Amino acid sequence: MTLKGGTSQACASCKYQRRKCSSECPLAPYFPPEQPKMFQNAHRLFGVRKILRILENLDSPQKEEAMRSIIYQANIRDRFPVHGCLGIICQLHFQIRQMEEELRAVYAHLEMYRQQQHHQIEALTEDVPSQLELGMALPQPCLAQQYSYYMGSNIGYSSSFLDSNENVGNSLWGQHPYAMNNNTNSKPVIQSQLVASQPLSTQQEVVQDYDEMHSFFDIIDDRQSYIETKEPYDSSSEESLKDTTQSMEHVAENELKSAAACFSLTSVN
Amino acid sequence: MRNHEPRASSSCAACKFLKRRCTPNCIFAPYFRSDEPTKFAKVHKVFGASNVSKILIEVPEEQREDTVNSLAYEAEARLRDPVYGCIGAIALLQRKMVELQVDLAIARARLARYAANSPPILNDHGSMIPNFAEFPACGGLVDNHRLISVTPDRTESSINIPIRLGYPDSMASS
Repeated sequence: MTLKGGTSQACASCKYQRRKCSSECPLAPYFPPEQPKMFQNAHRLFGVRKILRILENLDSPQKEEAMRSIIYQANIRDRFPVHGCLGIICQLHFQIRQMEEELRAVYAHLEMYRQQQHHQIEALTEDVPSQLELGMALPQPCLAQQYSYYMGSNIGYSSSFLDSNENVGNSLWGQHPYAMNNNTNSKPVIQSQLVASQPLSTQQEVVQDYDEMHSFFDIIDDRQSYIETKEPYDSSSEESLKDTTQSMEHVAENELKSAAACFSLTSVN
Repeated sequence: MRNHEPRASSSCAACKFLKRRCTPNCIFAPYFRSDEPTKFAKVHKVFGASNVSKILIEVPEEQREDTVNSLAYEAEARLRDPVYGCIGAIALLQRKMVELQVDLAIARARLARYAANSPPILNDHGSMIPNFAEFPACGGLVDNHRLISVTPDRTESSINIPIRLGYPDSMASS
């Protein structure tokens, strides 16, 4: 069906309903005529009246976001007629749990390596009892503190991440009577973070993430820079450890020499 | 004399809401019990009884309960958040998953560095603990940090991992 005197086609909504598509058709911007399936999915799930009812109380920018979510939801329902979006949510929840477990395992493994290095350093510091016998006070606490600070900062980072994510998870999820029981222990709940009381900028940010995933790669760049900044600190701590060890060995040698000289002068039968 | 048969109060929540007689073949009756009136009310408000009925007819009977529960969930989400509905939850979960991927990549890189510079760690039995960095990451469940296209399964009995969903623009041509 074409508009009289116009070159533009009727939107998919009006085509489907076989009616005239006016210039003020509220659904025309969202259902182009070359994508009939998109409207069919939305119509099958919501229906035109329900869609219009959702839109009537929203502002113009919110309308666009709402239509995008409606179309997305309808398409998901078309592909997953039984579980729809709830199945996707359960799936994502399960995957997130798996990744969190894997992350915990990696952190545990990292901790083992750190413990191993800590023991090695302790073994090095215990290797100089002769200097204590000679009355030399060695800066052992400083060395131990420096390395423990490094380990503590990393452990703090990992544990704070886990804690913060658990808190986020708890705020996202709760009990819902209609949720399906999947492999997860907790039942997914309707997210309450995106409510009308939140500023529109927050919603736009989330929608941008939902629509365009490119912003997430900025996060990856920030993390890489974090690794680079940590590396010099790692090397500096290792170098200071080597320096201290070498200086201790040098002192020990000198003390032995002076002790030997004293002994030779005061030999007793 | 007329026999007044006792009225059976067996109308389902849907027929009560729609104020119609609940027949023995009512498609809503098994899933919208009379003690859950709000469940159907929400579903009806968002999707409409006619659409729900058509959706239920198209799925196998043994999967209708799951279908109704997912529709009820989506309806409630849409009522709470008219703009995003349940899609907001999906977006948040996606973002969280990407963050986890990043953290996992960083941790694995750090572990590989440790493993390269340190002697192998032995367990209590003296056997070497395998290097975790050599293990494949999480079964390759997430790809490209987005939900990508799915293989349609009209007879789904379970959702297989991984799933791939297209964005609205890419799905419109189907």
